[in-house]
Amino acid sequence: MIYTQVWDHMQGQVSDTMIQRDEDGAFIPFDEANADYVEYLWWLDDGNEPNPATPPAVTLPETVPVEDRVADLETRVDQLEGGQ
Amino acid sequence: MIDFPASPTLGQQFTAAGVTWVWDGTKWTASGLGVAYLPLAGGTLTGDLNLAYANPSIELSKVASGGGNYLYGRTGSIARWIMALGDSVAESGSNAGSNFFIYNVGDGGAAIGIPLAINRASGQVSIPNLVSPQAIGDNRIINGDFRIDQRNNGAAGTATQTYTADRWFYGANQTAKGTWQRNTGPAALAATGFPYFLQFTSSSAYAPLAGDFFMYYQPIEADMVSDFNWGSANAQPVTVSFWASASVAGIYGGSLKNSTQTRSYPFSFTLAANTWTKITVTIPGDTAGTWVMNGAAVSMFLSFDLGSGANFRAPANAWAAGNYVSVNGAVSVVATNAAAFYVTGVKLETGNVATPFNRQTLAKSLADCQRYYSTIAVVGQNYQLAGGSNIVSGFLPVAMRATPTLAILQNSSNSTATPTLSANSIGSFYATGTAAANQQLTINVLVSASAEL
Repeated sequence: MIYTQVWDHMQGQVSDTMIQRDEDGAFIPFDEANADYVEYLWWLDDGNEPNPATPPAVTLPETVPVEDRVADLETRVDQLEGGQ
Repeated sequence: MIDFPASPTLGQQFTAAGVTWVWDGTKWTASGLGVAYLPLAGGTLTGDLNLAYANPSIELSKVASGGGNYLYGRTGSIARWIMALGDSVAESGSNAGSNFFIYNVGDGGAAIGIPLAINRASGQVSIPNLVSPQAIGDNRIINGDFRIDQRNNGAAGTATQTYTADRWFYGANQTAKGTWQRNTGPAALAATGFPYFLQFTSSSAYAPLAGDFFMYYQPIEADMVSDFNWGSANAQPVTVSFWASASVAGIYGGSLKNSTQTRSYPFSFTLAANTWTKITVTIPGDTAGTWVMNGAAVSMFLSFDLGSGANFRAPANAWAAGNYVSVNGAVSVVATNAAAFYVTGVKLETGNVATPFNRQTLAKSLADCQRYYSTIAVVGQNYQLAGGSNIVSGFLPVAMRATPTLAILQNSSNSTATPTLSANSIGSFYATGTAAANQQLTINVLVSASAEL
């Protein structure tokens, strides 16, 4: 069995309330009444460590340089003036 | 000399010296001459009395309040039962008095009691020794009739160490030795009254090693069995009952054992080939050992052996200190290729008697199962900037035994990665997804929640 830490999207950090089981992707809460969590604790007691969490990769939209925006605006103005 | 009445009327009867005469309009004619008749003062018939006309009746007419109308049933001359159709209690007004009762009478002819009495005024019925129908004991097994199979909906599987039908676990330390399935069939219904059963079919002829185990079991939550009082001087006996069938005739085994698996009661039962058989096993309460008798943790396991090794077998029908799931010499289903074992109608209750299986609504049975496992879909959509997250809440149909483990069974989200599931409590959770770009971020997942023991 292998476990991986969970990235908390809201807190922007590794979750301190649950762990993820790689086998089925299940999210296991840190609740000692939960049999899966007890199994995870045994796994830790055996000297194992979970894989680190991976923050989500986010593809930000490409930004347009200010000079290019100004040039674009000047072009549009010229077009408008030429149309008069 | 006979002194007949003067001026008789047609049909008038006159009895003298044991002979009854009837006036036919012109003369007196002897009726039934030579046959004995009861005098009006009463007597004893030596034949049946048959009243055969439109509305026959027998009337008991006491002449006044305070008297009694009685019917007797005797042996010889001694009464055995007396029925009062209006007893000697005076009629004092407001419908009082002249009540109904039945005496039971002892050998010597003296009344023993009044097992049935009805007050004439109120109609109140008194049956002091009424024997109530036997109460149906509460079943401590959930889904004993296998109607609920949320995970597989009747599909077969071969995975080990997994739940099959709800609450029923297939435990095995060797893979690929058989197939489990919540199955159904008309033959089972006809024989047992249960359309569903849990089946195990061996896929090889595997001889179990001493340390091997193959079994179906159900872990039972402590608060479900607190009244067993096991591990104390007040330990109560319990009864396990179920229907079973197998393709191979022989002696089969199962057990009831504690959560630490240090106390076990292996039991045996005999099955003919391909014959559904009702099995009843009464187990004395265990006064020894450590038993968890309250709380939401596991208290005990009820197991059906499918081929456990020698390490997990012990003599039948006795408490033993150890982890046993079967009895010595029991049939190992996994040892015969294509051999099958079937079980249904499983009940565990207090007492020494197996009472009928509790038939419950499907809604209740499902809710009982959902305390340990359920599935729920959550869907949500919102515009989100790149890197932003949406949260969608989900509410579990039943408060679960513990904060559940959550897993995604189906995912149709468009988040940058598979959504994260976070359990808030035993009753709710939320799914979180992150937008890969400025977009309508959709979170759409089917989630399983498990709080199994």
